[in-house]
Amino acid sequence: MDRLPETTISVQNLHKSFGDLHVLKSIDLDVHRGEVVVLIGSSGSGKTTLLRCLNFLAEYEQGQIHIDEKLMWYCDADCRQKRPTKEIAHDRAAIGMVFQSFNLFPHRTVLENIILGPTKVKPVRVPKPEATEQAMALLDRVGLLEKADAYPNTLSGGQQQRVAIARALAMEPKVMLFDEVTSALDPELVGEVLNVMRQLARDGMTMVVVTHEIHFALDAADKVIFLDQGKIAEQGPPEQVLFHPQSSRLKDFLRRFEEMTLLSWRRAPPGEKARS
Amino acid sequence: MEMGYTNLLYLFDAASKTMMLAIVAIVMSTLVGVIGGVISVLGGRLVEAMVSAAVYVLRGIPILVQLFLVYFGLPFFGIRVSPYTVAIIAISLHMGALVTEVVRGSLLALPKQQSESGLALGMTPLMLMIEVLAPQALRAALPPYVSLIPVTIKATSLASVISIWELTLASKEIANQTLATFEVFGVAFAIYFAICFPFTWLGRRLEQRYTGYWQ
Ligand SMILES: Nc1ncnc2c1ncn2[C@@H]1O[C@H](COP(=O)(O)OP(=O)(O)O)[C@@H](O)[C@H]1O
Ligand SMILES: [Mg+2]
Repeated sequence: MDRLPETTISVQNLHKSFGDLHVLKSIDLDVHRGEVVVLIGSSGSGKTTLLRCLNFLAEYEQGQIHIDEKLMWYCDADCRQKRPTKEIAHDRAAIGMVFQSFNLFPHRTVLENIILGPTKVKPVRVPKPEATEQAMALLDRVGLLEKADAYPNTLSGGQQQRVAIARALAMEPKVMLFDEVTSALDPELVGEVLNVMRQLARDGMTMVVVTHEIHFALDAADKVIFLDQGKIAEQGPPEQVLFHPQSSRLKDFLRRFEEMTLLSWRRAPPGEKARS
Repeated sequence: MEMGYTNLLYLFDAASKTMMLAIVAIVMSTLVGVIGGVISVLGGRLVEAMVSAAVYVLRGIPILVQLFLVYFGLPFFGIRVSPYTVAIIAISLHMGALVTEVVRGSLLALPKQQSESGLALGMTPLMLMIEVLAPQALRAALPPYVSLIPVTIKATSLASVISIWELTLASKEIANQTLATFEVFGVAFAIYFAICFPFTWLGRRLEQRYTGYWQ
């Protein structure tokens, strides 16, 4: 059997700027196989940019990112020699990404959205009947089997996002990146998407998740990272980072969340609360 | 003077020549426009700048002047082509510039997230264009594109100035012979209108039907 590398994502000394704006400042990050890492941080702290660097939707000036021990992107000192577009596309196929705004292809049915990747994009193309079968299994997994022939604009936001997850999974990615995938959803639809993600985490998928859903971090994450002004300010197991924040910036950040009510509930069970 | 039945048939014959000219010009200008629009979106900044410059120049000069430029310009460089070819080149370039704008505009109007999610799946830019962008842009491009068809048809009348025999030139001939100028051009008007109107109407209809994005 092949030895599987332990570290699925390895980021070393990553720097990224937009013009004069230094957005990511020396990020080091290791994500191990099967690990779920939750990224938190206030708006503008660089979470999206970090995810976009991980699958090279954003170019960066300095640093290295390895996925499964393979250097994924390079750019020499003057950025004259870049990796060919085709190779990058090839490598991206192994990294699934789900966005805040779903981004399903509106001119294709749910099923067509899902099989497009395997049949036309995947480095080793999957024949259509096989891809369809796999897509139906995925739809079953996200609870949308009956929507296979629907067009995206007939689905609710939560349903669209679950299809988007299925579409990414159809590529059989090594890693899944989630960028605030529940932020655009009505509150009552958040749960169905988080449940799919929880199941995915239990099934052993390696995941990097940007989210404001603190309870998801608590029950699904192996590690929580607090990104502040382009730097990793704090990291550790969810309870440590979320219940025992060290820096005042993280404390402020956590205080600003409604979920704090849930956290205080957990720290002080309702019984105690009723007494006080 | 009466224009007569034979002359009417003569005009119908010329009208079919106009239609042939228009069909070739429409096909060519569509090719020019699709290629121009797609490469200006996919080809990077330099290509985009070059396409934009060409579009500006072509749009800024009357078709008639372009027709003369090609007509006298090509021989100047020692290239000999028939007047028919000259007309096709001039009209196709001018209309191609307009189609380029339509194609480019409808591609750029697509939400950026569509490209992002395609690229994130692992598509190359070409795949993205074929599978994701073009099919969606087509819907936005169709109404303005169809509305350009009558413009192309009307532009073929300019070919008469370099003595290409089509509806306008034939009308002039008959008008000179019969002196029934009003009747003759009245018939020419009716024929042009009959050819163009369906496209004008269709363009309007499509516009009403396909407004807004998909969501
Ligand atoms: N394409 C871009 N061009 C210029 N600045 C950008 C671009 N994308 C993001 N930024 C800036 O980079 C910073 C980090 O953005 P982002 O990674 O989206 O933060 P987050 O996802 O944590 O809210 C912000 O200040 C944002 O304005
Ligand atoms: Mg963001």
